[in-house]
Amino acid sequence: MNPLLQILRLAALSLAVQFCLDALVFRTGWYGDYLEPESYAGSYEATLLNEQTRRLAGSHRVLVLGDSAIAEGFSAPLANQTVADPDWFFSNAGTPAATPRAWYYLLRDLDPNAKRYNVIVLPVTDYADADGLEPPDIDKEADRDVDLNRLIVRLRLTDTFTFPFTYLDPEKKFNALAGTLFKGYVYSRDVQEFLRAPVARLAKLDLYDEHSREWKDAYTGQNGSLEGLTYDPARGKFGFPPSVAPAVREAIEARQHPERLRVEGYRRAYREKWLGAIINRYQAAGATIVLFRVPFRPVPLHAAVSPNGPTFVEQVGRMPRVVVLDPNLFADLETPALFFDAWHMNSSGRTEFTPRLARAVVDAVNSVRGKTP
Amino acid sequence: MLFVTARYFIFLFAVLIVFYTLPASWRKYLLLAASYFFYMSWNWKFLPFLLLLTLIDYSAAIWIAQNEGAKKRAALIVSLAANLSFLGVFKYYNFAAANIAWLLGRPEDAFFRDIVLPLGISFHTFQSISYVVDVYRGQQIPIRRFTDYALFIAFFPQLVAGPIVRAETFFADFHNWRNPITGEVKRGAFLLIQGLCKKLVLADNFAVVSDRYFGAIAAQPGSIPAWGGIVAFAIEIFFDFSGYSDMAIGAALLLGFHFPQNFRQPFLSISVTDFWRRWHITLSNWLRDYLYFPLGGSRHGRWNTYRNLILTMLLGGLWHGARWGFVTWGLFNGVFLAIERATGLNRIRDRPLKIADTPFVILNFAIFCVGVVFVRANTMRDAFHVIQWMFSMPSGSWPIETTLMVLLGASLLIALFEDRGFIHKRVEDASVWTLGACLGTLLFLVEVLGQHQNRPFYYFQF
Repeated sequence: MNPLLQILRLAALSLAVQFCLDALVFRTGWYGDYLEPESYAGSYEATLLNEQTRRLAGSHRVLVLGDSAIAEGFSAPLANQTVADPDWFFSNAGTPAATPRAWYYLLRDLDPNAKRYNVIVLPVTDYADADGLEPPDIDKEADRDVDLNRLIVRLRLTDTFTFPFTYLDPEKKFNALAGTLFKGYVYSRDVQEFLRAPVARLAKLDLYDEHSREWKDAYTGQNGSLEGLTYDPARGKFGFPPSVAPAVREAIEARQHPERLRVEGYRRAYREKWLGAIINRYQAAGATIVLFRVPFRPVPLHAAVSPNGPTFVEQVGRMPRVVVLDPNLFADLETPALFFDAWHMNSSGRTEFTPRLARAVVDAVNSVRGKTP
Repeated sequence: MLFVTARYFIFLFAVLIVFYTLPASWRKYLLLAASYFFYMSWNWKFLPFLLLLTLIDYSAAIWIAQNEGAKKRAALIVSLAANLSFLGVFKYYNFAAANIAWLLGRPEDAFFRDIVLPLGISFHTFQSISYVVDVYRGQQIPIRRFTDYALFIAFFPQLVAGPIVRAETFFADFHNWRNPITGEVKRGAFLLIQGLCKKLVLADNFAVVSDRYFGAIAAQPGSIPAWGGIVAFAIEIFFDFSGYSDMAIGAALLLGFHFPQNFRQPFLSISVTDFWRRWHITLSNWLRDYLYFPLGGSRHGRWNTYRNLILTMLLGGLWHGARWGFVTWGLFNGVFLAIERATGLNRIRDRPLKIADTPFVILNFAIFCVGVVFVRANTMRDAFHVIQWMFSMPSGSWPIETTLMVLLGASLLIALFEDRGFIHKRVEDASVWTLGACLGTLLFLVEVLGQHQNRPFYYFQF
């Protein structure tokens, strides 16, 4: 027999066995129950499970999506308390470092028919599709490695043909392809940590299973504050109070580079792909979508870029049942006293921001209803 | 392009497909092109250097075969000088510069140059030297076709870190090339995946432990952490290098080339002499044939034999790396070889292991562990600290976690009882389905238990 045929046959058979074993452990959902609850994937699964099992009430079921800016800055129980109307129910799916791509896959499983929520609230960091808004390592949101880890439980075999190709960098595309096909490559670190301390992991999982939703709902935010922080935009210099840790100082300084702002089209393309997909999905289901600029730094950037043509937000703002809130609605909250680090609002910020967002959402939805013939 | 990356496997797969699709007469050109592509994927700038060295040795061998006396010797000297000076400049310049600076009381980096070590230089220069010397000795016919010789030097499965293949072995396959038989294909595939598993699952997991220990030895004083750290390193380098060798031998076998075995249960050695017949066998044989024998071997009395043994191992240590740690390790082994020769303890085990051998096996493993402290420790001072702790009263805590202990047990069983004859016979006799299931399971183990940080093979630095 031709050696090449033998090699091909052996390779195909080996890969098939590897795939079957991988599928048995990681595609049946069996291992997903043992994920480290504080890992990217574990915390996302907890968010999904918490929201899936939450009993929703009222005719306005609002889901606020987001990353840590929303996880820290927004409180669904406080929003419900503010609105105090049994017809309105707010849920918070904000999870640290979650991206619009991750929101899309979360919603696909959380709300398969797009009927569970009829108001979707989407935070954005700017309305101008500015690239370079964040330090270079996460400049291109499409290339964030962490999405693969976060979504590994959610990715289906059919996603092998789509998900990897949403990365821009060829190496990351390949890693995503390998990870989507053979999930064990992504799970391996978690499995190894589990094997190192299985008893501790199981105990932690029990604890999280019992209390994670309760902890999330009872969370009131971080106490620290950057009060006393000053910034001179002309000189680009910060004045830090002594209480600010060196790592926080570095992060604040690293984020304050208006000269890095530019419009290259990466952010816009990314938003069109993922926010566009979410908006289209819920528009088709008759839901209302609210977009707003989230307060996400203790000091305003004092810079703007000139977009080439209409921005993504402007474009979707023209669609029916899509409301874009005033970009400066929460601008006054970007102040040191309401932040505990370079990215996140503290408990005071949370208490200020939540009622204002809740009321703005209610007004926005009512305005859409008023406009609807 | 590391052997353990998907990129390498795609490359190898593509080469295999094109290789077996092309007419037989074109295949060697494909292998040469693929080998140069592989070499350039690391650093294309060194290709002219590799070509120049290949040309020098190719021409020298032909010159040697065509001439006698002084001309013949001159050609040999030119070839040796070219190889050793390239090796010397690239590998040892900074080592020499640091020592000269120290002697002159200058800062260590006073004369440093920013030198990048060309890929596989230590291995392909040794291969070239052995070829030219064999031609000089009349043991090898010179290769007339430049591309044939260039392939011998650059053949990608062994270009980076061996095994060091002699021209005689390579060209026996090259000139009488035939399709690998079914058993060889199975064995080649098995070696390829077994090597991957050894590297990623065993070597790299123990590398985490040894790195943690040697990265902060002062934080973990005591004999128990010291032994734990060094046992982890011993396991790491064995599986790292034997894994690399398996992958190289396996890839070559799939292309119809039969590389020599490089490891034969070295941890079951009953003496240091026995160990060096079982560990990196192709290097040991090279050092014996091209260094120890030319130095006089054991032909000029006891003391000269001891001197030659020590000198050979000293230079062997220096070949491994331009650091005093490697030199000391070479000296350490040379002294043990000389002591064994002097006391008659230089026994070679050419029979199955007996219970009575156990103390010698344990003692020999302990000697190996003490020796490689010099290889792994970051400084000589660290090395002496670790050795001091190894021989102190038991104290401290074992650095290898419970889960890794299971892996350690499995590793030791593999390292001790990996009987290639037995395993390979079973691999060759297995049905395609059984072998496919076995390889698929190994791949799954690699996927889940492997370390995927693309850590280079340890011998790549040599």
